[in-house]
Amino acid sequence: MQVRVVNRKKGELNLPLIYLIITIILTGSAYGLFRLHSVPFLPCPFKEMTGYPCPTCGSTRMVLSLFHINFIDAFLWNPGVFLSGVAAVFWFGYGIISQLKRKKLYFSLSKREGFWLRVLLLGGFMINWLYLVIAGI
Amino acid sequence: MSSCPFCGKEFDGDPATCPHCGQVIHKSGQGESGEQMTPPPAPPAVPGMPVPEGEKSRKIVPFEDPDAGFFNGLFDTIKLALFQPSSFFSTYRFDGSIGRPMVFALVVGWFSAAVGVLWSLIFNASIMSAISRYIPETENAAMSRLGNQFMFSSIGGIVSLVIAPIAIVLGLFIMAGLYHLFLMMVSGAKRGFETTFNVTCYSVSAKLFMVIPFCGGSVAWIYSLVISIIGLSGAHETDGWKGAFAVLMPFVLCCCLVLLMVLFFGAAIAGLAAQN
Repeated sequence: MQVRVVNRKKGELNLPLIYLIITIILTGSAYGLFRLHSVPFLPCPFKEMTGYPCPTCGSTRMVLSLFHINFIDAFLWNPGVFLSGVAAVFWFGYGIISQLKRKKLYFSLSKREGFWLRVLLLGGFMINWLYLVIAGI
Repeated sequence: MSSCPFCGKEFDGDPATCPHCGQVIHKSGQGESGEQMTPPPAPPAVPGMPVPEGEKSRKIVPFEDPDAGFFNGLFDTIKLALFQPSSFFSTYRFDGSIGRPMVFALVVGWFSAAVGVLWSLIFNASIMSAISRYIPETENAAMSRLGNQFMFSSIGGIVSLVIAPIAIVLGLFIMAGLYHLFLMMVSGAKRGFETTFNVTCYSVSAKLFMVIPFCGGSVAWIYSLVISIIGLSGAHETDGWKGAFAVLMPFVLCCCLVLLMVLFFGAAIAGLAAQN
């Protein structure tokens, strides 16, 4: 794996910053609904039909736990989505630093490393789903 | 065996157009084998945007061409995206700036949403008038409830048009992000995020099917998925199944919405069949 710091080109998109703005808008709207006690609880069609949770089940309850600043409960509702959120926070932070410093990180993975990264992500996804099924989320 | 100067795929014989991308082929000579073909003229560069090496043979999307004019470019792009998606996404450039494609998606998406709201108002009004015929005049409370529901749905429709531009932009970024992430998962993202985003913007053209009353929304949704699959595989020059994976996986993961749609349509068709 190669990691290099390179200069950002003029006019180059800063994706982490764009997605940070989108996340702020969506989280703000969700928090507004939460404060108004009108968070729409939509039943999961997958769970309704099969009786088993889908890979994203528990996400709404996880967000509500976060609004109550209860990180442990939030993690237990859906560890995969929670850890993705933590990763996103680091990505947003990187976006802000990248914008301020006018530099960005350049990652290069070999084919073998790319393959094992995919295996790791797929494995994590399946383990998370298995946890949701066993825990009866 | 010859190869197409536009899409680079090989074919047999001496066709006037490429069997893969449909472009007209101009030949420089009549060779016996491995014929040399004249490459297409270099497309005009987008002002201020460097042309990457792999994209030099691609043309500029009419809507992004400053010489085409706003409405001419808009109509030409809609025509290409709707009726020749395969050729459009494999021969035009999609790695440029995201501003102009976003304007395209906003114009087309907002117009389609406005038509959708108009149809729903007409549909609700006709339902209201049909129901009112069967409610006795003494049932004032029921009539007033129906009237309120109609009023709230009308106001909701108009409010949704006001917030539609924000929702369209947010939706474009969310969908393009998911598509690109899933393309990366299967090594299908041969080009940058801009390409995925621009394909997502131009696939909004399918929403124009909303002009068809009743079934227009479903047709638009299904055709936009089809255009997105063709678009991602054409613009990223990757396999069709990778494009399909990237477009369909978000729906599979998001609570199996596709399965729900299939069940819904299956139940509707079964219901109609039972009535007949």
